[in-house]
Amino acid sequence: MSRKRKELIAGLIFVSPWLLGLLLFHVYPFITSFYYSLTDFNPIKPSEFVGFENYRWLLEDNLFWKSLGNTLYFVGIGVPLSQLTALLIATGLYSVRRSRVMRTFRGIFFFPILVPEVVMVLVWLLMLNSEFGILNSFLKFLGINPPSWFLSVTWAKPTIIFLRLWFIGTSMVIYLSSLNEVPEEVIEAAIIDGASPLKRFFKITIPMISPVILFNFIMDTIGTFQIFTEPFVMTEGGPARSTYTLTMFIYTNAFQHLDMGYASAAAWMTFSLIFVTTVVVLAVTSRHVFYRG
Amino acid sequence: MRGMRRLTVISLLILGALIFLFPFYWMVMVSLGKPEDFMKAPPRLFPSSLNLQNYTEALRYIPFFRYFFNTLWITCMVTLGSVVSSSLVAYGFSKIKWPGREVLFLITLGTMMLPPAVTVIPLYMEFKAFGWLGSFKPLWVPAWFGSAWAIFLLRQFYRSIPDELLDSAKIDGAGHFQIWKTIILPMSRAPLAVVALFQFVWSWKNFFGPLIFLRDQNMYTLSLGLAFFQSRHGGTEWHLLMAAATLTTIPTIIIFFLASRYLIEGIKITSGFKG
Repeated sequence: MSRKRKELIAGLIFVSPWLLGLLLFHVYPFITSFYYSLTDFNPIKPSEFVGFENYRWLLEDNLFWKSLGNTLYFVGIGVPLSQLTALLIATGLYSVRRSRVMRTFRGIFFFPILVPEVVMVLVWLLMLNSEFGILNSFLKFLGINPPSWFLSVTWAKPTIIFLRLWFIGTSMVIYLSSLNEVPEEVIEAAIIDGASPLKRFFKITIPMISPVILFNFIMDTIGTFQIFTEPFVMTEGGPARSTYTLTMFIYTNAFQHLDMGYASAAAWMTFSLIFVTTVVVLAVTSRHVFYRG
Repeated sequence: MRGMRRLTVISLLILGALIFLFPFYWMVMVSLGKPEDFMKAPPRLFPSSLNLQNYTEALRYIPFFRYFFNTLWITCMVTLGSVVSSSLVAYGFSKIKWPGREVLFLITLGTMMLPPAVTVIPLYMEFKAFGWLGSFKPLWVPAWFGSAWAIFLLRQFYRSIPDELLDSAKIDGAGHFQIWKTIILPMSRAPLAVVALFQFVWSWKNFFGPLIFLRDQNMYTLSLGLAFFQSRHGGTEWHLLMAAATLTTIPTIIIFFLASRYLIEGIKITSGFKG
């Protein structure tokens, strides 16, 4: 047997677990879910091919539009807010990078992403309780009349966006490491030229780390399009479906109504939306992102 | 001027850190207090007395040990499986040259973009056909076939190991499996630790998977059990719920203190392909 042939066989043997896993748990389900979306499919009766009927129904389903609107709200407002928070904290940490407290602070801002979301949501349910929530007492102490948070149609979505600010750890670490990679000579040259700190930040730092900003925005957008646990545990999609999201729509239709064809169609709509958004964002930003080297 | 700015930044960081820590402070305080300490407005900031019996009661309030061992079992199987398999697969993607390797690797990266909501319905039917529903298998068996994220991270590391290092072993007649076992594995303790820690944390936190695949209450994980008890009891026994929540968080706190450095390094490596 030739050496090349041997290497091919060895390579395939080493990747064989993944080759099998890729087919069984990724490729096959991905393709099958598209097929399901074209059928009237319920696990306890034979499925029936219906073409694009499920998609047509989706477009007429008010609840689908509502969950789409809510999800877009979480993406449109939540992602920029989270990313801004992450970048601000990273910038703050960067400016004290040489002191010993930096690691402690970084640890504190990083820690919440290790905590189960369910735990965080439970603590917030307690802290925002309308009778004895500590945040309400604090706001009243400041003379502010607190809203009813997750019980109010207007405030439920902002409440969830707010508690998700605790999960910025990953983005923050990535921002911080990219800030550390900005060459100090460039910054020093700007200082000699008399550029103010704010100007240096917007004219040098931001363009230098723009690929990282783009990366974090895209990852956060993909994640937020699938937001599920926080609204599911906190409000079960309420009040009046104001926090009902696309993934909750898919979950409810598939595993509670057992309408798996319809749910698959909604899943494919979600997937297409994520895909198109990512491609559009990459295309629009390609001219504004600065790649070094 | 410089000193002033530094002082401002540090004060703001302290304020931010206090805000970030407050939910955890409150969780622990309520878990140690009496209901009448904080189920009033305004609540007390510290418990009036130390009520450690909340913790022993919490262990019975939800079947804590059962949920704990369910979660631990799933988490350990996921961690072990993905470390072993991803390491082998990453070796195949980096240290053996074969046609089609790069294409397959790109497809592997592509799977990371697939939303679980798209694949979960066919997976459910698949696991049903395998007869896995009603067991923990849907949650841990897939990990034994490798995880795209871990394969990516380990491949990055293996590529940085010079081939010359393996050549002498090859001349001595060692096969790939032997090279992987005797040279690569001992060198990759740190990246393997990163993979293991992340898989542990993700699996420990996981809510969506257990929600879909675990129907029997005796098989619930901690995340699922906590959510279920909150909705069932309408949040009446907050001190017990917070004690259970604190206990659920303890493993992640241990990981944080032992290994946050590895976790932070891991995030840096996996974001390294952004350019």
